Amino acid sequence: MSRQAKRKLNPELIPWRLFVVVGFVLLLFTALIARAAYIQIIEPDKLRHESDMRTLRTSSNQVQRGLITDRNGEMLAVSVPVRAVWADPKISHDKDAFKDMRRWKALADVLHEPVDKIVNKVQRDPKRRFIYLKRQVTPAVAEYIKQLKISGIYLKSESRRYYPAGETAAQLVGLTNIDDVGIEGIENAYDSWLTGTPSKQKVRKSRDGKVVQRLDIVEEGESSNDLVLSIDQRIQQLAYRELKRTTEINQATSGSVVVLDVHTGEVLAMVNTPSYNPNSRENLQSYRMRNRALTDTFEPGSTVKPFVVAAALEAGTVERNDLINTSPGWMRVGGRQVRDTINYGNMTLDKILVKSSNVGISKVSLSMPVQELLGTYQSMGLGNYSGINLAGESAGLIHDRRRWSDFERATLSYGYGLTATPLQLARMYATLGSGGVLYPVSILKLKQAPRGEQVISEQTAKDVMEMMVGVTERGGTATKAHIDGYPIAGKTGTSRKSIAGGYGDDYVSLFAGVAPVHNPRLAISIVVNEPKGDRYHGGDVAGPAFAKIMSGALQMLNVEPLNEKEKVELAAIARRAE
Amino acid sequence: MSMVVLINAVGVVYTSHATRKLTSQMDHLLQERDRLDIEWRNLLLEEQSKSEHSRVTRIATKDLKMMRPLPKEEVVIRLP
Repeated sequence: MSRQAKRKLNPELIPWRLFVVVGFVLLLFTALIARAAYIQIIEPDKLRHESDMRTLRTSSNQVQRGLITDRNGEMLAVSVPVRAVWADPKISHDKDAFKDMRRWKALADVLHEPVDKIVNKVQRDPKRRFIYLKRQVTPAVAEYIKQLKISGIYLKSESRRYYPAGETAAQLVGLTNIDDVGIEGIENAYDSWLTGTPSKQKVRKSRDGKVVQRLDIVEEGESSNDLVLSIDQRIQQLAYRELKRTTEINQATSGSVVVLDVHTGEVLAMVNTPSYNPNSRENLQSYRMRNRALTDTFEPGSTVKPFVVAAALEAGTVERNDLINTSPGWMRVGGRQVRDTINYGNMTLDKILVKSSNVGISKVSLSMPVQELLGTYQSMGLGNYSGINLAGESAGLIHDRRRWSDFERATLSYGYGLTATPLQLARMYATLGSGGVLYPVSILKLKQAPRGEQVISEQTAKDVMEMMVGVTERGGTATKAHIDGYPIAGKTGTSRKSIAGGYGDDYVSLFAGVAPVHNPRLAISIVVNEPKGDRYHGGDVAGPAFAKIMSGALQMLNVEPLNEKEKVELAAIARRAE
Repeated sequence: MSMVVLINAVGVVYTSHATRKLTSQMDHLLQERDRLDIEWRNLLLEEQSKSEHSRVTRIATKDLKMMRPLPKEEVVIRLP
């Protein structure tokens, strides 16, 4: 027993065993280091590649189309992200997704389509790799579909455009198609400004899908830009409501209203009837989508008479206080007749405008060379693009020729033989309001007034405006356009529509004007096309709408109404026309 | 010398870990931003439809019996 214990206390070293063990351990270490060195230094690429395969991902961010707002920041167009549901039939077939039909039934229910149709779509061609099942579904529905976990059914991000202003600004703002490309109106004209491109970036993701490292940018994206229009949605809304009512009451085929800021040339409202709802695209009709205020032209009728007076005053062929003899109420010009409704006798220039005398204005026109008149028309923007820069704008038509017969010169003075758009008409009146300065029209909100061009003298513009005050007073042609508190310088117009070979039975009723006369702010033109009711005179059809829109808009802009003293002064001006 | 290398190595591991954590946090915040942006857009739409002028006018005139004064009925108050 004790011998055994003793032997244990003194173990003998057996050298060869030690060498074997140490040698083995060393060998292992060397092998490990060699392997590590091999992986790390000599051939690291393979494993790196393997790692990258598992962790590197390209992520792209979705860029929403820019907002369109009015001048006060109210939304006119907003993009909201939605999802598209698409199918990969090959995956569905390979993974035998049609075994569990309950899921397909649920999918069909939530997409509001018959289950046969959807299944058939996916089953028909097993080789296809991409089919849209439904576009623009809401995030809630998309989440539900995700939970269904059907093999081969996927979701894709896209966006849907909403137009909160609805039909009031439909033609102006325009539309995008289902792929978010602007196809009408502002959406079309400023498409590249509003559209952004997504940026693509390489990222490293951890096992649970978190981004742990951002690597280089694969594709530089561009963020979208917002657009601020010059439109004032409050005025736009008011103008649309009044125009719609006017169109309905008079059973007219269409109508347009343009409201311009006199001092900057900004468009504050531009509305057309008939309109459409841009948020529901099932039945779009192209005649409703046209922005008639820019695209449609008509003969402006008596609304151009103030500019004839302005041209004559500028040319110096008549004076401010001249009397013009219009008796006996008709005259013969080059074998044709120009006539008034009654014999007005001797008339001042004021009275010619207030009573809208064709004979009087023809005499004014014939007193000057025709080039003077045409020059004035053209310098006020007739026959030219307004600078608004939207597709489909018409420049109107104003003949440029050497020889004019006397009768043509007379008809030019009461608005036949030339065509204009509602926008051009409003712009002409805005020029009067700004003291003879013509501004380019802008649909975008401006930071400062653009450089205008003085086309008639300030005095002439002021005189002509004063002459028109009587139009809406008692005895004028448009008492219905009168606004108590805001004096307006406006003019009615009623023109027959030309048809092949002459003039037909349809009319265009117009009213255009500037207000308030003593401190002009807004110019408005109203055009009602083919009123079918008993009344077709511009003063009766377009006049009431003008009064509503103008007084409402001036109130919204906080323009001070006339005080008592100014009222008396104004009455004195108006009385001169009597 | 070997100690310095060792400490350095640990330092590299630590900072790269910290970077990854921060990146992941940033990604999280970016996702949060996108989510908030979507919510904002939807709220914007709701606000627009609730504050739509014709709706406000209808409620003001029909339910609250309000009316717009004519220009001649307006009283101008000038602040001194």
